[in-house]
Amino acid sequence: MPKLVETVDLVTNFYTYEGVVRALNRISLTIEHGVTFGLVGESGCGKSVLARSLMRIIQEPGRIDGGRILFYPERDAGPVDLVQQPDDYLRGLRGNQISMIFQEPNAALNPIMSVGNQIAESFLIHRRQELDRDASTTNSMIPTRSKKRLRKEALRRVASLLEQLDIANSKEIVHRFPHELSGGMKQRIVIAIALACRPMLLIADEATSNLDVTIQAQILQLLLELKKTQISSVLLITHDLGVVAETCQRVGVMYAGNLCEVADVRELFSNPRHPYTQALLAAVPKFSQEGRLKSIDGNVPNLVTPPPGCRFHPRCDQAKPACRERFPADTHLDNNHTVACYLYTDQSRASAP
Amino acid sequence: MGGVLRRQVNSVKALDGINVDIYRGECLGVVGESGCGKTTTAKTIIGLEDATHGKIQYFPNGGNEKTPPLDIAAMGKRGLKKSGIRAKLQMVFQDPTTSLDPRMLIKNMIAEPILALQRIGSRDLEARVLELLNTVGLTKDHYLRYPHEFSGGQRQRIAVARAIATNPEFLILDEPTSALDVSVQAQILNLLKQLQQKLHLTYLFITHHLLVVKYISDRLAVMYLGKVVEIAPTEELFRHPLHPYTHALLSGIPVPEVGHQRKRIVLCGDVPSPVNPPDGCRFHTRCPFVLERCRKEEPLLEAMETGHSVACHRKQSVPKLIHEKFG
Repeated sequence: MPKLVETVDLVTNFYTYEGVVRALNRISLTIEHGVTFGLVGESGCGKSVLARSLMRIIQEPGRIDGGRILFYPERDAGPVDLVQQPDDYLRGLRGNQISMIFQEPNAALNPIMSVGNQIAESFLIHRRQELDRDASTTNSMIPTRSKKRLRKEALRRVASLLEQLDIANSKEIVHRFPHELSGGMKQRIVIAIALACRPMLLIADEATSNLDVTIQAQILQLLLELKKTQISSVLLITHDLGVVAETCQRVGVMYAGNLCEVADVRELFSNPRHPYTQALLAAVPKFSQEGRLKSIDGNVPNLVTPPPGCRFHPRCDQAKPACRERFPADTHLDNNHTVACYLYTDQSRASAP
Repeated sequence: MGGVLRRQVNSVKALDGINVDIYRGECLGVVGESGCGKTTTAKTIIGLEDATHGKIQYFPNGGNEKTPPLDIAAMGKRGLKKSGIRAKLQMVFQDPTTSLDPRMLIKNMIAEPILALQRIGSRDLEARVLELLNTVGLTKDHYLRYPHEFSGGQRQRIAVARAIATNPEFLILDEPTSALDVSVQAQILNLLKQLQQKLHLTYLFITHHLLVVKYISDRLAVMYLGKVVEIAPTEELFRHPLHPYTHALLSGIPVPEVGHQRKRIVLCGDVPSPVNPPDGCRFHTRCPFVLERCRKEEPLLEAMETGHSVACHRKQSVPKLIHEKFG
């Protein structure tokens, strides 16, 4: 599969009064075309910061302090480094080629704007010329180049988009305001905004976390269907290992600003390598749960003063002296499985020629 | 007090005709989507909300048959205080950041319920508070601190310590782990299991997370729009669910295992507003097997086999219908 987005040693820090929060510590990860990539980890591990870094929407006091974000908009052409791009380029990219579904639909929607107009904004910003062309063929009564005409055409597109998202009586919903809709419906609107321009990469940041089980099932099914027809790749950020197991092809596990392990979903769940992944999988109740859950002792570290070396070592029961000194480099194992842990570094050296 | 006596502690008839028995020493899980009345049920049981109709019966003195049950709903605030029932029925709330007073020392926070009930010397009090901290896995170092100095998991431990400070018999746990991370959630669940055995507690465990409730509870009640639609021993409910809503809930759980093959039943639509619930069976607007009868006549919660009750007109044929429609 050709690459779509690749981060190389990405570092994002937040300069707060309490000190520098080292939120992302040299993250290198690749998302290929056509893949649903799941990013799991506990709260505060940097999942959302990574997503926001990819879109370059890190706000003050945060800053991308190093590394590259390579975006491959065309399959054969070379990459664009998003870290170096000016704001103008990024404005054309956000919501167009890369778009994001935010966690909390109540906060993501504008309460004093009808949902139809909020979705139409995407078309009006990114698809102006197309709208102009289509508008001249459909309703020739209104003079050309008028804003009203463009808006009308945009709203027509919104209605057909909502129909694709299985929203009942979409013609009426277009004129509603967010407070008039249920939680699941609001999340669909947020999805519609993100999908409006058929992005190449859709970032879903905890898109279903605040929803009920039956609504979550609806939204996940919708995302999977859309993935087949409309969008190329999805980056699904969640803390729910169950959601990852059911929807993703590849999974990255993050802990305290580090990417510990990346593997295909089957491989990761059946053969987890990093001690943190193993502990995390043992800590969630499973369908066939028997006996006690194994908890991880201690707490997630503070990222202002993260532990030296591997950030997991204070909670790891297999920690070695080396773990306290330097952060382990990525080790590439069989089955496209990458892990950052000293337990596997010797092994790979032995197998290498 | 005995964990194996299994005598009736409470019989609740709250919200819209809810009849639930909670037995001494068990953990009854309550699941349902947001707004279905889980928390209201809990609050009504301990008298934080007033029941409009019906009885909440509490069987004191270790379920001794000679002592008549007390009706919490009829007692009123003053009566509750006088009878000392408050000490026996305690609650742990969902979010420990909001349920702990930010300006109170941990020491005072845990001492408060003890002081409200008895006169106790300061030395004894300190010993008791330290013992409680110890029970929930905290140490002497935490004695003189404020809530903001703790992580989410530790805060929830403090909330548990405060709830068990009065030696309660019955603990309501309202989504005690939903604000916590996965690795910490396991710590708290294990702590709660351990405390239940050690202190012979009875739990009412409210959650929307079905795998958590499967891990901790003995029996499970499924609620939908202010009604209990199904209640059964946990194992039985997961193996042979009867109500279509339970089927949909169970099939909707994302399972953290790969190669877990199962049919997925996706319901259409949202939960109707409880202000204006549908007539007849409240689930009929989303039920895939709705009949004309469901729209008019409300099904009653009827016992099927031992301990398995369900409120559905088509309960006999639901497994067959599910099989036909969803494979």
